[in-house]
Amino acid sequence: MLIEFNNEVKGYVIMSAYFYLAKMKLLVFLSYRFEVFTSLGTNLIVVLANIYLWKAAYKGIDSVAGVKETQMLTYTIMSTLLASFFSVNIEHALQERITHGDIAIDFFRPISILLKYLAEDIGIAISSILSKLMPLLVIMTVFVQPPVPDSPMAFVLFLLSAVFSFLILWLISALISLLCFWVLQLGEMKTVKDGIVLLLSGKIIPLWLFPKKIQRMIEILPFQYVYQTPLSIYIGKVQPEQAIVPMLIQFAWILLFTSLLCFGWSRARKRVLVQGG
Amino acid sequence: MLENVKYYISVALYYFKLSLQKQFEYPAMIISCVFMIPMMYGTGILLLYFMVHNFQPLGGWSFPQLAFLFGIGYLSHGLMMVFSVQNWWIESYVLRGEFDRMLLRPLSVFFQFTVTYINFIGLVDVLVGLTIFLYSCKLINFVWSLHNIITIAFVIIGGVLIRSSIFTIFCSVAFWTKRSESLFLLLNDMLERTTQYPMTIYPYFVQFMLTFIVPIAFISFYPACEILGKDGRIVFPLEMSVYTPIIGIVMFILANMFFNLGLKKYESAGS
Repeated sequence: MLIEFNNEVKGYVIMSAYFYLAKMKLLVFLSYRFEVFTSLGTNLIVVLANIYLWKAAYKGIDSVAGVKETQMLTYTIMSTLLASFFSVNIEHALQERITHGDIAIDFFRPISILLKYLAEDIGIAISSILSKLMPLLVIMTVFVQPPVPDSPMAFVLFLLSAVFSFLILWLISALISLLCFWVLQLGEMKTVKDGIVLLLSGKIIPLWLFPKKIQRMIEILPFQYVYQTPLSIYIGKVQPEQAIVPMLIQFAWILLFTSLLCFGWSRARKRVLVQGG
Repeated sequence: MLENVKYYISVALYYFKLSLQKQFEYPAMIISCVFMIPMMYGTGILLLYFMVHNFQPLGGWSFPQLAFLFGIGYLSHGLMMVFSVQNWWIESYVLRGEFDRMLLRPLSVFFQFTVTYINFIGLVDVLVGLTIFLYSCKLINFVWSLHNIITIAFVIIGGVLIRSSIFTIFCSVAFWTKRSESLFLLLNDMLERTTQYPMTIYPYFVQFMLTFIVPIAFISFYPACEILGKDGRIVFPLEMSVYTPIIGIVMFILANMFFNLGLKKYESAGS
């Protein structure tokens, strides 16, 4: 009787241990997968809402500004895919180092700080290809429509142009975070930048829908080269032979921002002020 | 009873003062939000404008009507941002053990949590929402009769309750999983996309779900349908000035229950 009882207790303890292990595994799983799932869910909601919106807009209309419905849907899908890939963390990382004063240590390290952050951001971008971009691409292909490029050439140029876009976006962010050396408390400059990019980059609203005058003004700014340029090449709104001009402009922006960043960085080094302990 | 209410109000006012002081410590944050918020929501309304302008009315909704829908939805979003943005941070409250302090006090934790923070930056949202709403009212020749004013007021109060309850319920998941922060982005995007566009552009089952499972459609879509005389696919016998606030209150009670259920599971993870 006693032995039986003991066995019962033992069995219970072992079972609850398994249960506990299972629960902990689940929690660990959740702690890593939770963000992946929620960000996939967020992207899905945004892209599906945009797709239904565009479908409602195109109902019974063949094309607007030379863009057909399927092209526009591809544009929207690819824009969300690009956005999930363009994760730039430098502002946040650098600001934290600066306000805590850790940046002083970084200057002693034998590697360039800026390149370190670039490498990190590229690493994050590549991991989001696996965790964010691919699942979204699969779901879109199966349930909506495969986002097919206009031509193989368009796809190749798109890839190159998208890399340029990433660099432009990264350099803009790096330049903004450089301000941190002067003002220490950057506030939310990042969110202001994100707002401008959202409005003027063609991420949500293709710029060809803007009135002509405003289009001219936006063309002077670098933002449309972040989303609109690669996406227009992809859907064939800009044909491969015409793509050379916007891509050269992309390249010019990269050169300009890089030289600005190098100049600013050499000045910033002298401004280091150790704030934290 | 009256003494009790007085006491609760005085506590709420004190929290109000505290959060005012907290936030004005960081003026740069406030200034950048003043720029960013109109830009973000400006993009949303501009997209609708350009679509109608270059294409056609969306699902039969003209731009003024879309703006009206957008305005109602956005006003309740703004007020929710002012009064219950802390729902978004339940995760970090749990992780940092912030409920410890509240549990020690002889007051309802849900009450303390609800009044604990007033987000003044949310006033920017309210202002933007109000601008869009009043502008669209002018465009659609809204009649400012007593009946209409009461309807709008009830709908917005109900909308705020529905919104904040949805956030409370979903973000309370953190009590069990220790994680919910990235959920609020998902919910926020979902609420944005479903309260700012007419639900008739979505498949019927989406509207059905958002009516009977998660009652988001009552925040702005059905009220706008009723006032503008649009076809909302699902017809209700009474007026929306009845439905939205009642659903809001029911949701709020559910949120309270769910929060308290989670609180029982709360184990202070902080130091």
